[in-house]
Amino acid sequence: MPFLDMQIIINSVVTGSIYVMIAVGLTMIYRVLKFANFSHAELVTFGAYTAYIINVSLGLNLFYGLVVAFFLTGLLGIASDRLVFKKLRSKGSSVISMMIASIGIGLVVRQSIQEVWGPQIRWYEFESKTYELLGGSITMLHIYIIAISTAIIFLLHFLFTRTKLGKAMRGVSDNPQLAMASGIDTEKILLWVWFIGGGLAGIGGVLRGADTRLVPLLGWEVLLSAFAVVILGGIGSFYGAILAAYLLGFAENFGVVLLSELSISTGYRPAIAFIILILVLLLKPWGIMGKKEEGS
Amino acid sequence: MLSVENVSSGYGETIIVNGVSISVNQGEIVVIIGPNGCGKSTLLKTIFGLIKPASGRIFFGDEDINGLKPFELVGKGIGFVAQTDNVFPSLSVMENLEMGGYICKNPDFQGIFDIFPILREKKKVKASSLSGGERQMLAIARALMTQPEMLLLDEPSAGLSPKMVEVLMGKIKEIKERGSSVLLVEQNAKSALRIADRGYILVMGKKMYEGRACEMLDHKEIGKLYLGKKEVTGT
Ligand SMILES: Nc1ncnc2c1ncn2[C@@H]1O[C@H](COP(=O)(O)OP(=O)(O)OP(=O)(O)O)[C@@H](O)[C@H]1O
Ligand SMILES: [Mg+2]
Repeated sequence: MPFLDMQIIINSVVTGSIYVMIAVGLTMIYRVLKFANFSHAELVTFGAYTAYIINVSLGLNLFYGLVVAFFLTGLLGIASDRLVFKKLRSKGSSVISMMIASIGIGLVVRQSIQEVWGPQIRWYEFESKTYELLGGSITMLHIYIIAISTAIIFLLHFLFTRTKLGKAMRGVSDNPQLAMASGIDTEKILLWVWFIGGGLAGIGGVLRGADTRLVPLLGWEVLLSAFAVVILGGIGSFYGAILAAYLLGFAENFGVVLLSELSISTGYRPAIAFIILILVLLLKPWGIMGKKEEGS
Repeated sequence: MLSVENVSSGYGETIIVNGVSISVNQGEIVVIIGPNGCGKSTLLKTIFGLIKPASGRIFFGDEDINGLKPFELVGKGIGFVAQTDNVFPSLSVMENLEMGGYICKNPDFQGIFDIFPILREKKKVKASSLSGGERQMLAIARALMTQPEMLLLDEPSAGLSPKMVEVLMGKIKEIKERGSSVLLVEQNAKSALRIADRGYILVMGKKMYEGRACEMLDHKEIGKLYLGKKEVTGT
């Protein structure tokens, strides 16, 4: 078996760890607001470039960049809601209008990033040693990516199951009217959803940027995979998204090896997510952990 | 305590509730009955701020509560249980109650479990896997978490077995005895009137009758039209 070596497993876990960060925010926003937020891609890119300022322009450790990216991207998420989505919501706009508005927001943010940093490829500055692991090699960066992602998954699990805020987020997405009838200020909870969901996208962007490189299309490149993860996991399902992120990470890395074995260009890599997306929609439209009855 | 004065409301341009005045006094159970689609739910939703009234005024105590948001009304001591979608399906029983007590500093779960022992047993069960009766109990328990002075209930007994309806009515009476006033919309008019102090009949968005519950139970016309019985017994 040339495919199933340790290297593929390591690469898959790294890819999955990055997808988790991006997909969880996407699924959180979907679950509460019921629309596919295409501007999530640019939240990812924005986070990556925010960390670039801290890391390269200011010359600080990339870790600080990660923290700042989380906060600023979270705030950008809030801003997009306040400036656009909240207004549409209060007018009773359809989810289609929201989705199209999100494409517009994404365009503006992407163009602004291109305006400031130009189209050229950029890299973060950090050192990353390589270690041997059971016949594969793993870099210090990969270890950080996996550790950060795992820690955040546990934090989110704690948030959703142990804290009042996290339970209220689940409550608001279950039944917003009832949440209001319970005395929950749903608009305030929505701000937290945007902040955390956006912040996680920012973190995903930094991890992705560190693992590959920075370009203004960074987020756009992973958006399809992120949607595939969200749908595969069952739209709106947090645990489903986690599982699906690693599954897709595996499918993509395994698929790339398969493609080259079959002498097909690995340029088809993005098609793997697309094929999986279509297959899930055809065979199991509710995903691996989604609920059949999609509330309203 | 609650007084609705000449309220009209509806959806968009359509007026459903047409100039209705009702009141609930401290410590009363008041029932609203009426045929399907006459606007009972619309009236309750209007009181609870989910629908803006086209005209009229709504007072809670001395305060004009017209225009306040539902979560603000909860803070003022009003609880509401909707006719449908009245629990958080993916949350556990305990989490549903926590949401009910969201604005409370020290939510009193034991007090609620004393009224609804079944919920204590099913604390960890997801609301979506409860039976119909258990779910209505949970819906009411959720609204009781804030210890509201005024509880609005929209057909809590819908879809329950006759035995379960009686159990539920017993619980509602217990809630009143613990100090909440109740405004109850019911299809099971007879069972509801038995525990109620007063009642209103709403027909096509208008108030057709108001009176004491015991009189309504004995009223020939009402018995025939709304209580589904030729003979009406007791209070
Ligand atoms: N969201 C809505 N938008 C538009 N019309 C509505 C809406 N909800 C209810 N209606 C209409 O308003 C009228 C009154 O509805 P309402 O739910 O208040 O009746 P009800 O007395 O509670 O009936 P039931 O006993 O069946 O619960 C109905 O004709 C209904 O079709
Ligand atoms: Mg109704």
